Amino acid sequence: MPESPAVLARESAVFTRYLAGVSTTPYVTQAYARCHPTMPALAKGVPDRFDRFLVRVATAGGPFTRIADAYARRVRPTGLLRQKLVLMCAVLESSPPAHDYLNTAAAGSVAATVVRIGLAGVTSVLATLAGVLLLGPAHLALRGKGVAA
Amino acid sequence: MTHVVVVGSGASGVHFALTALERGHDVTMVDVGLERPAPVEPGASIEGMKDRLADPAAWFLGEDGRNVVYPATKASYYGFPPSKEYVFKTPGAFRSRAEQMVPVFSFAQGGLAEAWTGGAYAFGPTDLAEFPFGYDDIAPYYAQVAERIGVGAEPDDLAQFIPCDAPYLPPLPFDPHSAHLVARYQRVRPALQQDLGFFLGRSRVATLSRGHRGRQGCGQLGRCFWGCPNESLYTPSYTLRELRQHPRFTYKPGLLATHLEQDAGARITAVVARPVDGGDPVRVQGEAFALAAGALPSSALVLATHHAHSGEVASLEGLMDNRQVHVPFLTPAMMGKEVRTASYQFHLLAFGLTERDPAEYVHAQITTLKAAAVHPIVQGLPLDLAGSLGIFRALRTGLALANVNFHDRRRAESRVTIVPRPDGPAELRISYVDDPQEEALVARTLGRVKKALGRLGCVVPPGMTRVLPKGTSVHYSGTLPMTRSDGGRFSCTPEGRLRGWSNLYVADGAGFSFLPAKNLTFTLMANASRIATALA
Ligand SMILES: Cc1cc2nc3c(=O)[nH]c(=O)nc-3n(C[C@H](O)[C@H](O)[C@H](O)COP(=O)(O)OP(=O)(O)OC[C@H]3O[C@@H](n4cnc5c(N)ncnc54)[C@H](O)[C@@H]3O)c2cc1C
Ligand code: SF4
Repeated sequence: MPESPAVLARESAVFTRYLAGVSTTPYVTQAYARCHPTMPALAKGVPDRFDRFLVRVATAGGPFTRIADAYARRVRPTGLLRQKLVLMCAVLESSPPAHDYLNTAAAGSVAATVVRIGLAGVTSVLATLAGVLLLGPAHLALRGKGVAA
Repeated sequence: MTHVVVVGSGASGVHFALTALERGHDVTMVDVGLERPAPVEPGASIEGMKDRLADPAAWFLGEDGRNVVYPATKASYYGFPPSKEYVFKTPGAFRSRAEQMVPVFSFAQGGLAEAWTGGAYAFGPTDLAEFPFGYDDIAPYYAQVAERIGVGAEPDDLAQFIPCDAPYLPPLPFDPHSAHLVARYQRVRPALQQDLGFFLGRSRVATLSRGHRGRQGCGQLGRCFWGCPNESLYTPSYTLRELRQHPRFTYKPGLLATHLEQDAGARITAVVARPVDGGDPVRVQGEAFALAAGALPSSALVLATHHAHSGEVASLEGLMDNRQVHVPFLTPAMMGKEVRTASYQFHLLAFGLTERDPAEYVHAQITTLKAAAVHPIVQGLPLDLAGSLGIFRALRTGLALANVNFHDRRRAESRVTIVPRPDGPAELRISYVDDPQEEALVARTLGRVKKALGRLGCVVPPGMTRVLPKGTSVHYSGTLPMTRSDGGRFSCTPEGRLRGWSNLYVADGAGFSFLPAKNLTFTLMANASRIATALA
């Protein structure tokens, strides 16, 4: 079943903010939406309930996006949420308003860079731990559940 | 003068044809010949395009997003953009199946080198030891091709392995990361050479540092991977364009050659081809014939010709391809610097590693990261995507990739054959068997590469080195080898004529007798030109 324009618009807004820290644009939303039919996770049939659950959590925005993404990276690295985020990254790096951000470096000294990497790593680990605590139970509950809504 | 029919417009075919014309022959070229799209926004840099195009996502990712590289899908390992799709499209009638190899074909005007990265390396005397001619025999053709296409090079520590005596252009300027590596190398050079047999120099590239033969010098737009709009990075379609202006040249695109016809005296009389858009087969007659369809399709044509005449399905031994290993590395001293996406994107450095057997010389090219598709890289990092992007942006200017190449030899186990089909061209069957010795060589070499990069102040992150499947280097060769003495009907004379036929020449990599680690296309072009001079 194709996803509704309203759902995709919401994803576009949340994922653009998450990946590039800016507001989405009608162009980004339109490009993101029109690329969905060729996304492998959707092209091969309806994704399972846990995949769709992860997308719903991520779309709540704020810290939930990162927690769902970090957890998905561990347990569903090729699943629906990761594919949607990769698609959004591809759209953002190719067009305004975020291509400059994605294609520049975080400039600074080697020491500042090491600190930056450390912080990103720690935040990701914390997000993964939060994912295990918050999403792990749902993962167990939905394990083996098919595609029914 | 002879009327010669050439199959294929790739690097081999166009230089064979140009030399044949220059020597007064008439040339007809039969080609599938898919066309490259016109360049868009020719003056814009890579980031400038994203601002200027009305629908940039469609240009970079495909109208429907089919060129997005998703996690763990079977997308092409190169993740080619829509602008390069025409290079790899195959006509419906062409069939192939491969074991232990992932072959890539091109049916484009200009062939596979429409998507190449321009590495142009002359083979030296050691590389040619198993060929039935020596360096002095081919050197004039390297010089001729270097002048035609424009290759940047200068004598350096690699010149002892890669001859540097052709009329080369000044090389492209270094990007800051490449310049940093060269400066480090100068400091530790004696130790690297003595302890590790490691030699660093410039990669020889077919990209113009200044205007040459009507093409512009590199304008540092950073669009190389997507297709150079300045024509600075050479592709064979430029030579095809030149050929098409010649009064004695006829180009016949839209035709998929299926086999050649021969008379009772083993003389080829015509190429038989199917129009790719449908219709009855056509015959293109000539007096001499040259196969330049790429080593694998040319092999299929020879086998189909043999089958049409004798009813026998034969196979060809000795298929070669370089093993490639990707070694990503980080230069911490370059982290946090300004990114210059508007700069030449491909490799500017190369290194060689000597082995006890000089024929086993290992060759590598270093590409420092400048403009890049970001999403295929960040998805592979082991963190959430926002964290991965943060780390990628922090590391970006320190990232680079060494693409390490290993030699290959002709072995009986790696072979091609055909399965004839009543309703179309024969299916090409490719079976490659790994050399059992190779694994040890690769492991030993990678240890040395890591040590050498370490001494250059670089770090090779564990777990990220990738041994690529055979087929990836796209350096196919060896199935119809040139030999000194008679090697049977499927071997070639030193002048490239197939011994089983009196007027059939092999102008592409199928005729190679050995495959050194160095990228072969410059030698394909020089050798094709050398063979064209042998036409009566
Ligand atoms: C991404 C990439 C990067 C590369 N980088 C380098 C590099 O840096 N350095 C290097 O040395 N090499 C490189 N290569 C390899 C290089 O591109 C090939 O070695 C070279 O293009 C082979 O040229 P060819 O003319 O022999 O064959 P091809 O390029 O395969 O050309 C074949 C031609 O024959 C035509 N044809 C095929 N079959 C038929 C048929 N049955 N009937 C009619 N026409 C037919 C096709 O239309 C095409 O015009 C690279 C390749 C790729 C894909
Ligand atoms: S940087 Fe690449 S795309 Fe730009 S002009 Fe130079 S070769 Fe062409």
